[in-house]
Amino acid sequence: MQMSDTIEIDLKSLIVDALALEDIEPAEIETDAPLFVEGLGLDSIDALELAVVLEESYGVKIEDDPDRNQVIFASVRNLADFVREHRVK
Amino acid sequence: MQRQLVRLGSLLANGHDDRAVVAFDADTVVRWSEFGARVAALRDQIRATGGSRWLVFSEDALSLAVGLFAVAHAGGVAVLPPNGGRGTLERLSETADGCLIDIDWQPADNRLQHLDLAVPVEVAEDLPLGFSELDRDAPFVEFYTSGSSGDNKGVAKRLRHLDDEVVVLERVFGAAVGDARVVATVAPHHIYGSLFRVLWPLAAGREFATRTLLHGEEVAARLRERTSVLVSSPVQVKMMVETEVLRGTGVGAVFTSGAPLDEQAAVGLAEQVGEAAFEVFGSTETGGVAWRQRPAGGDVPWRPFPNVDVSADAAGTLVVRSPFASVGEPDGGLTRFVMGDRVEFATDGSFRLRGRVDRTVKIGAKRLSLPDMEAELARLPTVEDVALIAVRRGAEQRVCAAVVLAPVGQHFLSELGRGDLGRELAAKLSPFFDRVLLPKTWRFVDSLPRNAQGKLPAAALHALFSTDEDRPLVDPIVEEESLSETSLRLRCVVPDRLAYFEGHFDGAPVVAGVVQVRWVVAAVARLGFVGRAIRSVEALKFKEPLLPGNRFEIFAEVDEARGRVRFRLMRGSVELSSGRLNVGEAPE
Repeated sequence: MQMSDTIEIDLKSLIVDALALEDIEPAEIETDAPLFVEGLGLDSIDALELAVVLEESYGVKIEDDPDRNQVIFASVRNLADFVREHRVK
Repeated sequence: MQRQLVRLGSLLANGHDDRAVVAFDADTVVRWSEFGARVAALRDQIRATGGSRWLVFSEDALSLAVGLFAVAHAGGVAVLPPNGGRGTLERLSETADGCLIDIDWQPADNRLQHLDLAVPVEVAEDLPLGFSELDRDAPFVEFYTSGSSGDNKGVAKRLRHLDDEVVVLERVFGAAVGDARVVATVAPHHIYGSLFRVLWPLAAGREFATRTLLHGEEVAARLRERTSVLVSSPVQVKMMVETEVLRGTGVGAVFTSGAPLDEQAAVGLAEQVGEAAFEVFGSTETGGVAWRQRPAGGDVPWRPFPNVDVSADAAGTLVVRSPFASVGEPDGGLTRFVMGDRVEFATDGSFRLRGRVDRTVKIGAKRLSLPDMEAELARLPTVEDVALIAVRRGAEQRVCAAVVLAPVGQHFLSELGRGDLGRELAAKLSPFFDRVLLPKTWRFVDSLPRNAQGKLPAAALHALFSTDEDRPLVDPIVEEESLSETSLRLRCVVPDRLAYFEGHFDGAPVVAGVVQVRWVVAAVARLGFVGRAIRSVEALKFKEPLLPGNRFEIFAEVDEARGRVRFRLMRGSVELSSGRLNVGEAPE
């Protein structure tokens, strides 16, 4: 396993825990699959909750910018890229 | 034909012919002379004993009537527990002066007077029983509801509240009932059962069944004997329509109340017995409010009962002004009560219910009527029955769905698993509802935790979605344990939230005997009997109820020679239960 993958793995666990997702294991979330609407079917409230947890865990701030956020939250991969770039923890 | 009514206050002072039959069971009838004698005997005992609040409980409709009128003629008020659970009786007896029951229960508080409701009486001919008219304005009864909100609360009624409603029931339904006798599948101690199967028949002089019938075949047999009407519930009628037991019984009117009758059951009943059910809408607080028949199904509006004034407040909530209502604001000789239902009026004054007010939730600034979403889900071929609740998760509430799957849905469940099936179902809702409103948590269950009245207690529904941390416990909390080779002593506490309590006992939980035995079996496993089967449980005795929060001890002693373990549960010096386990052979 490459080091760069660990954020993806951590993010999957974080999503499952933060959103209390049932019937899905972190490993079952596909790194490139859409998180919202299709795929996991997350919604805007889930996004807000995730934003809070991401700030707690990595110190990343997610601004209220719908267009940008749509890209950040598109998949675990995009989320991980964002975290790698902006993390302070 | 409508009947000439005797007002409830005059039933015994100046009522029906003594030789006429008041109530019946399979092979017996009870005449008014005997009814009067029983009421008089108990009235005298109550007077001699003193005290005004009497707990009255019987599964038998006639005995319940005897208790109600004995207490009233002694100048007291009857307190009717919603069920015969020991915890319920114990709790309600705290504010009572005495109890009038025919079940095997002794109140823990021996201050309480205890009279036997079933005591037989001699019926003497022409002996004056000394009844006077009852005061219509006197407090008569307190009903206890086991509401969907989960808390039991008392609703007091004066005699006139019930007496006036009986008059209206005869006016509306009397012609349809005619000379039929009254058979019932609902308990007599709720407001609906007490009015429809006891008080109204008493006033109209219609014979009523003493026993509550539980099996469809038994109901059918009783209906076939003579022209009868049936006082039942939506859940029971649905089952009887599915099994078609009412076909050919010649049943007259069928009444249901407590919840709307399932549409298929409504149509099926009309087809099978030739007449649609009379659905009655009301509440313990208001008494009967409206009624309807739906021979062809559909959202037929409810027609208010005569003398009952219905309207909507600014928020679209149903407001009832009624002479039968005993809770609410006095309003021009009537009582005004705001019900928990959203309502939509037709131009002729009839109305359609649009869901419970407390079933509208707000999630992420979006408003959702849970009944609307339930209706949408129920339309899916995969779904047979569904109930939604909103549960707080993090900062917001989220919708949780409990679903009973149709056979085709079961197929999908085994193919897809719970998570994917839930997401599939949510996707089916997404054209109609905002994304944030879609159910986040799904439970696929064999049946919804409805109680006997067809209602879904909120606590039982919430229990389906509780997370691990607040999931109710299944085991006692063990505080202290001492083991020897052949005996054990465990000191334990019953958790306040025990899984076995959920959906049972209407908020007055006791630890069921079967659960106590389960705990004993688990405890005995500590004695080195692991791997040895418990073959049978014998000589079981349950003497005293074990309640939430109780500290108690489990004692067990091994009799190796006979392959037995004797056990008893004690609370202090009080023995709660005892018995013995027969243990299999030791493994080779």
